[in-house]
Amino acid sequence: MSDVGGQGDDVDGPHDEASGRYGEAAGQARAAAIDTVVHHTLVAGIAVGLALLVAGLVLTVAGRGGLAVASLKVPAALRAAFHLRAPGFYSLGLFALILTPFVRVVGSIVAFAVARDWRFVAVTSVVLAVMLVSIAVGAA
Amino acid sequence: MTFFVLVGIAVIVGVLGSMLGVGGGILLVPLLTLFLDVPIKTAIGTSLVCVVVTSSASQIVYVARGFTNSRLGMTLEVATTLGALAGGITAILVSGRAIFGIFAAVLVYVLISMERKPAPPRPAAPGSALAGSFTDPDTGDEVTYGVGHLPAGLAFSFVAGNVSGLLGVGGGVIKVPVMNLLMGMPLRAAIATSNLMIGVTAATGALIFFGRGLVEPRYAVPTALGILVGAQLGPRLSGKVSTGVLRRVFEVLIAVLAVQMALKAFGV
Repeated sequence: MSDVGGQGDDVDGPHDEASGRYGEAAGQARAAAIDTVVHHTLVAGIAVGLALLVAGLVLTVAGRGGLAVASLKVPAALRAAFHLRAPGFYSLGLFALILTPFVRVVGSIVAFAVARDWRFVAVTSVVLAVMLVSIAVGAA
Repeated sequence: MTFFVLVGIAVIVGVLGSMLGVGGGILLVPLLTLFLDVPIKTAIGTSLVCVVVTSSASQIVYVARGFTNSRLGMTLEVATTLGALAGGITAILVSGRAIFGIFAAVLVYVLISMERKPAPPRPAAPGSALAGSFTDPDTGDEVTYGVGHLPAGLAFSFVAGNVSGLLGVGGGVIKVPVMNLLMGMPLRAAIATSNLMIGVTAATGALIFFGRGLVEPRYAVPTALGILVGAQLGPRLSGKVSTGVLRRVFEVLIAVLAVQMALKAFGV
């Protein structure tokens, strides 16, 4: 019970309720939920990417492969990483960093769907589709 | 040795970029090609990774503060990602010298846009699905705003995305003025929303370059790490260094790089 009162500082809630418009308050709550998803996705993506790059550097220092000239395709990178070879970690780390906004877009689609905001589910799905095309173009 | 030179360059680019609110790509691509002889398309691939990293890292802060307008960002991203896709494919197909020439032209545009006096923004009527609000940290007031001129905004966003995918830059120099001056968003919201779009746009371009083997770990790993460090340092240094002086340094640097890139375009 006492915890609830302690959160008062950074919660906008009372202000929204005072306006007495249920729709607006619910809309803002949904927007806040979307932002939370986005926030966690970004932190996780950068953390995973950085951890993989640093692991690669540690392996390079340990003599298990240098900074490769060409990036590996994902299957080859996974195999290299499985055998604790640095190039695998570098390619996977860079790929994770590049994919972070992509995962973030997927997260936004889910968040808009939960909020039953179908118009923005559609808009964000188009963005996702364009990103999928760019993966296909890169792989072709 | 090159590894540490790259980290050093990226740290400086990260500091300058985060303090002046410009993406790192506009400096990184010329520095990599002119001073380290990195092939231009590889430099663009490397830069796009750094732009994604910088954008994601800044977004963590902006999202937490509630400045980002996700709905407007996603709507304009339809145009920026299409632009980046077209730009990325173009970059693969055209000659390196053509890219040097276009890059020089964009650097000149950046220089002009930094010198231009900002016009007063045109506020749009609030109430559409794309309208937004945030709490101003300086005054504590709730700022509510509308968004106008969406079709023109979409057109400019396509161009910004195109430049991003073609040249490996973020394109914020186009998006921020468009959202602020044309669409009527407050500057703080425009910067945060532009930043959101930059990450998704650059990732779209980067996916093409990565698949084509143009994201080389020997360049991308040190620069990505360096730019993250620089972007963290920038805000901490901002009280200690005069932004006016920094701006001058940046402008001189951009001017020199524009001339160098133009010379490369002509094969000098």
